[in-house]
Amino acid sequence: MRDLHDPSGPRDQTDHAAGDFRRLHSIRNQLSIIVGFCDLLLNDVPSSDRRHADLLEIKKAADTAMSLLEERRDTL
Amino acid sequence: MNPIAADAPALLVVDDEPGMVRLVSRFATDRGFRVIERCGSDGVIAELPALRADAAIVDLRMPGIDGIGVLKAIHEANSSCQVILMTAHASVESAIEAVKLGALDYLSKPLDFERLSELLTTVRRSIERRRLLLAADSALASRFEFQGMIGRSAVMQQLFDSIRRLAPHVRTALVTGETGTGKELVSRALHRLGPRRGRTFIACNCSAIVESLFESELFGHVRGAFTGATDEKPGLFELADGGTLFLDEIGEMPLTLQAKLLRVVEYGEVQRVGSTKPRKVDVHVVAATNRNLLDDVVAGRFRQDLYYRLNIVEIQLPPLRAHLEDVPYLSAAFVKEFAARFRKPLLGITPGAERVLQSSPWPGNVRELRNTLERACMLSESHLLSERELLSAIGSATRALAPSAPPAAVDPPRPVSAPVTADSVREALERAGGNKSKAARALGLSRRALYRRLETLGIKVP
Repeated sequence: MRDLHDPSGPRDQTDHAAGDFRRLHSIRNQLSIIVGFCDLLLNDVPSSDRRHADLLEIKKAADTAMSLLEERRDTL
Repeated sequence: MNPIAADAPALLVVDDEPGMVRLVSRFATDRGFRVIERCGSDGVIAELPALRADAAIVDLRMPGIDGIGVLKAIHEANSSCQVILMTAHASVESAIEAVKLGALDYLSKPLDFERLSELLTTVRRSIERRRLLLAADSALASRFEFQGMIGRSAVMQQLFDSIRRLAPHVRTALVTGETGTGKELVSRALHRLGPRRGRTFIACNCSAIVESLFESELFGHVRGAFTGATDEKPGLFELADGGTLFLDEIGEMPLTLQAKLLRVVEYGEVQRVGSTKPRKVDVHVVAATNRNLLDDVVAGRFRQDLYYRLNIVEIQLPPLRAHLEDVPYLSAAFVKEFAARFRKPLLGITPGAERVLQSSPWPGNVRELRNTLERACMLSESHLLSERELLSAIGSATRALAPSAPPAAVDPPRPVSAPVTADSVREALERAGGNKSKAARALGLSRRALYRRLETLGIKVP
């Protein structure tokens, strides 16, 4: 028996898109927290400290992830 | 991290992401804010009045009530609370809507800390500016203070000027004005600025004395003058000898005693009840009333000769609605006084609360304003008295004044100053089924005053 609800129907596609958007939103929020705390720590840790460069790496990775996320969002 | 000052501004942070709440909290705490953290909007709206935040940073997209909903609720609870919205996906439309609704700014995530720092500085400065302004109002209030009264308006300055000029010469005065306008303060000022400062000042409310004891209270009695007069007792006139006697609500004085009062005022002689020997007293008399005594004279309720003797000097006090420009100074002084008395961290009032104060009619005049602010200060826990706290104080006063159940089949109370004729008394008694308390209420009189009217008008009631 066929499902009454067609998974490839336009309503389902809209629901999928909305779900994807919510997920992207949540990931962006999490990345914002990582970037935010990195920014705070970068202010506290002097640039002469080895950990400063480590923090910059974390921030760089989070920023890249954020850009990838934006690209994905544009295709939704 | 800097220790948080006791008067640090309170910042509410609302986001459904706990990490984001901690991030903003850490940043704002370092900048001297006392942060109130809330994960999600659930329950925040109900909490708002108690949180008393000076500013808020709120996430736009949250499950349940979103940031716009929280922003509206914050402004409803406290219009002076500044709100910054933040979102992971900023759009021009939502930014415009936020600003239209009164948000201070709209930030996108990840947060630009430089911008956030600027905004927090703006918030801090505006709170400090407000506090300084209020301190200045309070300082100004003390500059415009005169013998316990405050007034910068022309009408109050003229009043203070009259008191200053009259006090050294006045022996008898009549102070008139609506209830709560400060008649006793004026009479005390006349005493303190006159040659009798440092001598006795006695205040007597004529409506608070039982009629049968009136004469004895004012003029004293000798032993055996009446049942229960086991000792000799001097009256208030003798006790105030050399000083001032303030007779409040003089219009309530029975006609029979008015003749005796006139004798004291004219000749400085009192006669104790039961004695035939007059005694000399030297008393300045300041009488006060919220009624139109001339109407009472016309209606035969007040002696004309006494009226003209008392109103040689008449000082009329304006109702508060005639000098509303004094409300900010009066409020600042009262808030300062009650903050100290109740040990509250209050520094003043919010602009919204100020608008409420300025637009109220204050039928009970300065006394009503003072009592309202006393109640509001008692309720308040923040640095600034909010519109909500004030409205709740005004509301509780209105509830206290409203009768719980209106008396059945009795007309609404008449204004106190309305002439009470024999017909109106008979009609009120008939409507109240002979119940004197109900009839008195309908006539706008106290039960005792009704008895007096019955006596004067010669109405016999079983």
